[in-house]
Amino acid sequence: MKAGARRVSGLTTESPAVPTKGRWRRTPEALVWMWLLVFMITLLCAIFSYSAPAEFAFLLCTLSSLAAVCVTHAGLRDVHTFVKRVVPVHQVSQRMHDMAHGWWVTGLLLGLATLMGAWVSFLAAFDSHPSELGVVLLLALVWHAVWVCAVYAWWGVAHPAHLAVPLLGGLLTVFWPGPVLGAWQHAPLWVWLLAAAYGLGAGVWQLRRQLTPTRSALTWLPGPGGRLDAWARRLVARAGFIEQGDLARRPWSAIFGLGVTFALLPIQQIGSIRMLEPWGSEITYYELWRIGFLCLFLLPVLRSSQWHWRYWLSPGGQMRRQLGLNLITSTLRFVAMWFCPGWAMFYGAKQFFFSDQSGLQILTHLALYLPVMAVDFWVATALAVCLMGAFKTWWRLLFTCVLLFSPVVLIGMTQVDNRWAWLQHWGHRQGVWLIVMTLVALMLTILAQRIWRKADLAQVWREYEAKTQTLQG
Amino acid sequence: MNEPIISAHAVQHVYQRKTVLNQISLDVPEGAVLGLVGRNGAGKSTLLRNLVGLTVPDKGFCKLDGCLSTDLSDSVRERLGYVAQTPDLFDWLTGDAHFERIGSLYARWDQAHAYALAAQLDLPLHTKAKDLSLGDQQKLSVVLALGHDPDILILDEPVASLDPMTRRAFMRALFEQRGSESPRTVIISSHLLTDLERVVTHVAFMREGRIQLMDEWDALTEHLRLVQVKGAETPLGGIFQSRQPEHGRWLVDTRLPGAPFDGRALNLDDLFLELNA
Repeated sequence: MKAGARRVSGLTTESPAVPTKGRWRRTPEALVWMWLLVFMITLLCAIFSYSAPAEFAFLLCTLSSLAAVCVTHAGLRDVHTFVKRVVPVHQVSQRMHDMAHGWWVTGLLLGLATLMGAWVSFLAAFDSHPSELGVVLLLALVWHAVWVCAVYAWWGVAHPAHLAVPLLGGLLTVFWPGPVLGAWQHAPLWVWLLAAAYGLGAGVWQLRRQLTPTRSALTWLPGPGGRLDAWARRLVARAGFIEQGDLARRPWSAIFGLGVTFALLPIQQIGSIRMLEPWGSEITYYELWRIGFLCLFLLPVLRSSQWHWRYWLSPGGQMRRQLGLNLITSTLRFVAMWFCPGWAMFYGAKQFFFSDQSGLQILTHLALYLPVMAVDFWVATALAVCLMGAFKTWWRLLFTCVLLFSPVVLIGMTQVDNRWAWLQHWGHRQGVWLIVMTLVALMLTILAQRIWRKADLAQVWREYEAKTQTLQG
Repeated sequence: MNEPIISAHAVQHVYQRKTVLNQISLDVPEGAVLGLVGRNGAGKSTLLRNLVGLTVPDKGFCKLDGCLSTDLSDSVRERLGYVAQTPDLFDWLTGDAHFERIGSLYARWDQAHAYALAAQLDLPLHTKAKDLSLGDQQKLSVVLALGHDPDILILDEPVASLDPMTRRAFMRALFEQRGSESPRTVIISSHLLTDLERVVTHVAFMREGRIQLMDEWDALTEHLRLVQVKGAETPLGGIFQSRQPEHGRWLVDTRLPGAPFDGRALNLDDLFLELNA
């Protein structure tokens, strides 16, 4: 037997922390019995409850505990368990974590759906059908739990099966649109609920799969479906989900570090100064200040899809000549996939609740921000990458100070001499501005490439990690 | 001698106006185990980082298997294992999660071999890296470097935090029977000279960013002698005078014509002291 392992109830658990005495030992088997007990208690409560909300809550607990039984049991079904008679306790807890994580994502998706519904004035529809919504949620949760079990118990079977359903549905709709759509229109409510639950469960399951790190293409040759899956995973990974791995497993402090950047959401408008400007707006002496601030906010978010020297030295690792560009594109992808939608939702919600604009007007205004945001973030990210690679800490501090105090300097210049008055108004964000900023961004990108070609990668990595920790601290 | 598989050509590196590496040239033949020895700050780690391409030299260049270190091909990366002076692990991952994460990057990664190595080094695999002791972190770093059975192994003080038993297990793991046909080439930097002496085929002594002395270890033990001379005369075959001239001690290479054979033979420890006293 391995060191640290002990025999419990005929099986051996690897966890040295498992107590050996007492009736309620925290073994996986005990967990199964515990979940079953919770299931029975909550089922009884659901049956004998008097109010509808209580019944709903108890039913939720009932189904959750049943799903937990499945997940825990899946942890015991590994070949590992039967051949070696060893229960991988950490794997069981991992499955529980997976399930909880999946449910959390489900809740988030439903929350988003509700918010979107509110935006397009479907709130009333949601309000009038709470029981249907509850059923969809429950079905999705159970469906997701079954998927989690299936993935761990029968590798590879669940994935093609779940891909086949929407594919078949899509093909039927393409070839026989009339009958299919007609059938949907006349379908009973339970079919709609089942489809909604399936879509929700599948969406969550797929999202979780994307979050899980996978073997690179160098180690195995996937089929067409696998290649598509791998492509989607890479897309998500490069979008910044995975920074030295999945973000979900990073310490909270790292996520708080990102929060520094997302602080832009509520403070994007300070008085009359906006951090993000729409197309056609006036360029004032705050322009440098604004770009400097964006650059500062982006510093803790700077990322590369392989931000560790272990990745740099491994096959498929970044070549030095692409490192600067990789840092810029990875960061921009992260900003595009996480920050921009977050900001758009924040902006949209603010306009919706605190102005009289219609949904279409809000969307039009949002569209005006897009080209400016693209160029602004490109310039700011390239600048941040140059700063990170080129200068020492105190140089960065000096640079930041110059940017921050630039409005004061520019105002001072205009006050001292009228010939500098033009500095107060630099024109508008239109074609010329776009060309100039694009050129600036290109120059900064080329500069970043040159700087990072010579950077001491080990040193920079450590310094960045230490820096982010300090920021987070 | 085989073609050099690891080489450095006139490498110069300046850090904060201080020359860390000064025109270093180095050729390591395939299958060699080179011990890199020197005092703290001699430039060993910088040289190793230059060799793997993590640091770019200000002048000169390094090559691994004929490939520029700053632009390594995937096939060379596949054959390269590197242990840095600090473990630099993913703090929030456990040991086996590290295996999954890093192992997935290498086609030749052998999970069973990695687990066997971990067991051999008594490494706890279900603890997050941040909660491991420094020694265990170092062990994990070593296993990660060895898991894909690399042909080129560059180790920067890999055993500094390990206890004597683990050090022995590590050395065994380093030179155990391998599946690969090509012999493993190793550069190992360490201050534990007794351990090093047992395994090296070549030794390079570094001081103040230069290589003082480099040769096959067998040749050094056979031909290098410490002789005592009187006055300020230089003995025939003398290659290095002790840092304290009043002692009148010289290192003599007996392969040079006229060199005296009656000096004292040196082990690695003695040689290090003589070159760095």
